[in-house]
Amino acid sequence: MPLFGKSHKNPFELIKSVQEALIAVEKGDKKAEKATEDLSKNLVSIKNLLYGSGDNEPQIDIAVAQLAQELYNSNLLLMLINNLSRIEFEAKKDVAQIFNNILRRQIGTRCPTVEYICTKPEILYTLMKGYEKHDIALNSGSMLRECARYEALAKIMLYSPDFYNFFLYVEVSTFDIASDAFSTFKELLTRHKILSSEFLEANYDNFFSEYQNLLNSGNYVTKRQSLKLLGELLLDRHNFTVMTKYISNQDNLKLMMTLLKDRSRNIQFEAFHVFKVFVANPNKPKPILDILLRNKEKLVDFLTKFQTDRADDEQFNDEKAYLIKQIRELKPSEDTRASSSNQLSSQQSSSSSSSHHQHPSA
Amino acid sequence: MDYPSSMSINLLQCSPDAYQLFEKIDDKVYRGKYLSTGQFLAIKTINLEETNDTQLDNVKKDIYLTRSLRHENILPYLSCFLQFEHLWIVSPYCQYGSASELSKPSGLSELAISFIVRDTLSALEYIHNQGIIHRAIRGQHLLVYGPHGRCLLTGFQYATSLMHDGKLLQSIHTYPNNAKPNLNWLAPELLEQNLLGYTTTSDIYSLGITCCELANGCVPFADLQPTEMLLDKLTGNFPRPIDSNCAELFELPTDDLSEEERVRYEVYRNRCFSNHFHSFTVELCLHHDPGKRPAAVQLLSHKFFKQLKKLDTGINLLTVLDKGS
Repeated sequence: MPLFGKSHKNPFELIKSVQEALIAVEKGDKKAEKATEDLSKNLVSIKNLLYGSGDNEPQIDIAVAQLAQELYNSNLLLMLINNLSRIEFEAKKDVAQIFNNILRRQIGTRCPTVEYICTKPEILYTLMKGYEKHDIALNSGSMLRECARYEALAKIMLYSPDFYNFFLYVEVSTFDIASDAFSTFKELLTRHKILSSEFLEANYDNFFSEYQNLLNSGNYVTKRQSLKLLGELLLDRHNFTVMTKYISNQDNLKLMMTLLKDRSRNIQFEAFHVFKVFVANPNKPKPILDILLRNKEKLVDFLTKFQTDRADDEQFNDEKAYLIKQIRELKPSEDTRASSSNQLSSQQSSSSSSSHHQHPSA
Repeated sequence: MDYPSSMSINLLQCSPDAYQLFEKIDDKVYRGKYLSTGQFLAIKTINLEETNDTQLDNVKKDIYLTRSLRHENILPYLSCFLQFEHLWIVSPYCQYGSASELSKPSGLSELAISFIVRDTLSALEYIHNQGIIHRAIRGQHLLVYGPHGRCLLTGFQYATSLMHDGKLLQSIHTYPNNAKPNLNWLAPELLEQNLLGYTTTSDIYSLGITCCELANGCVPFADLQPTEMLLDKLTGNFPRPIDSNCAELFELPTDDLSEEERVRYEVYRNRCFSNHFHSFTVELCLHHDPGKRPAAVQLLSHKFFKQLKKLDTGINLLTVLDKGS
């Protein structure tokens, strides 16, 4: 059902009205209130044009093409996003929906909106900054995640210096904003495998020194989610180089051994899935091997008693048994353990995304 | 005291220190006070350590959707934050509890139901307009808020959206992973998971079941196995608001009934709902064909709600329930 009746404006007029209203809203003088209302109405009309309303099918072809072209020419997307805070609550959602629809526009194999945004990366930077304002954080997040689906746009975001702000955003005290930021962060790091592995390799030191703070966070959800994401990243075969580097660092191993004893069972469990990669590594560097050897008895004992109530989780129990066996058989000089370890890592990478994360409720 | 319903349902402080907790009002919900204003609030605490990843995703969805909705008949979340592994969700305090509690033991009056159902439809019109299907419309998710007995819809952890990939879908096919507590209210087309899928009108069916729940003071199909319930729904059997028009009621042997049931049946036999209420519930909301169930906006102009327009000002759900201040 259209909220404000059928619009009789053509795409060109609609864009023009939105533009005029936005300028008035931006000025913030006494006309601003009326302009805010006009803006909301026109945004509804644009949304209805794109999505259809009630029994009206969405407009196709010419109208949408005109609309999109006008949006690019007028630079309206950036204007809307810059003024998102000044737009009414419902209209903010309409902006996001218009954006998300236009973004998906395709002509053959081309995505003209994606190409357009590549030439206007301010759109992405502004959206990322949106997490700093609670009244637009979730709207910005919804647009960002749509953008992250496109490799070209994900790349701009990953390589922007502002990307590192996500390490702050995922920890803000407002739970809904923090978890929205985390899902965008995760999307950027997992959606395009090759892109993200290149990014992680090139920025290994910066990235993981920041990531360390998430793993040590006093925020329970940050700690649990970042640990789980770390497991997913390391077990993804695209990130082989990154994994090798990560599991060669003894501080990382120490951290995982500490987290295995965390007071939270869920965190212990996620730590287990990172810890196992250190143990399964067929070519353990000496410092890693030394730590494991030094703690051999304790680790075997600890793992034997570790979360024994997960009797129905077959994969977990297999992996645990495998780790215990590996640790038991550790010898100071190691060269012949490669074959069996490879088997485990391939098994993990094929199932890492689904099965090992569905733990039963405690 | 009313919560601000217009521009800024701004976050209250995100810190446990800003609140004082009193007694539990539900499994996970406490009555609390916002210290800086003295305002009473409901504070739900969820132990995330006892929440698996799927459940955590549903908790997040609930918060995300609720925070993106703003309507006078939807319970807002005023603040959400963590205290160690406990998630605190702060909302207005609905001192009169849920419609389901109020309907026990033998149901509400037709007038009370019409208030509740009108408010629910108004919330449904709003969310359906945005392509959201609630998937858990039931008495328990309708909270009664003072001072005028406004009903607030809650329970968005079960909801889903038809907005997908920049398009508005005509129907969806995914079965909710947390449907179990709400099976008795769910529409047949949702439960049978057929190729046609379901859409916003499945909420209308659930509203029909809710009408029966509120009228009868008990949950339809509560005494059946889920498979029997499904079979009943698929063969077009439906519950209805029970009153003196119900012939079976008089043939029922009363010897085996408990005292409580006997009292309830006595109430049923001595009351008579209007034809409008019956047809609203049975012929429209519970229509077997999802395409023939009217949309929320159409139902709002049904004759069932005419009785509300004739009322004197000052009459509201609370005065009808005799809980007026």
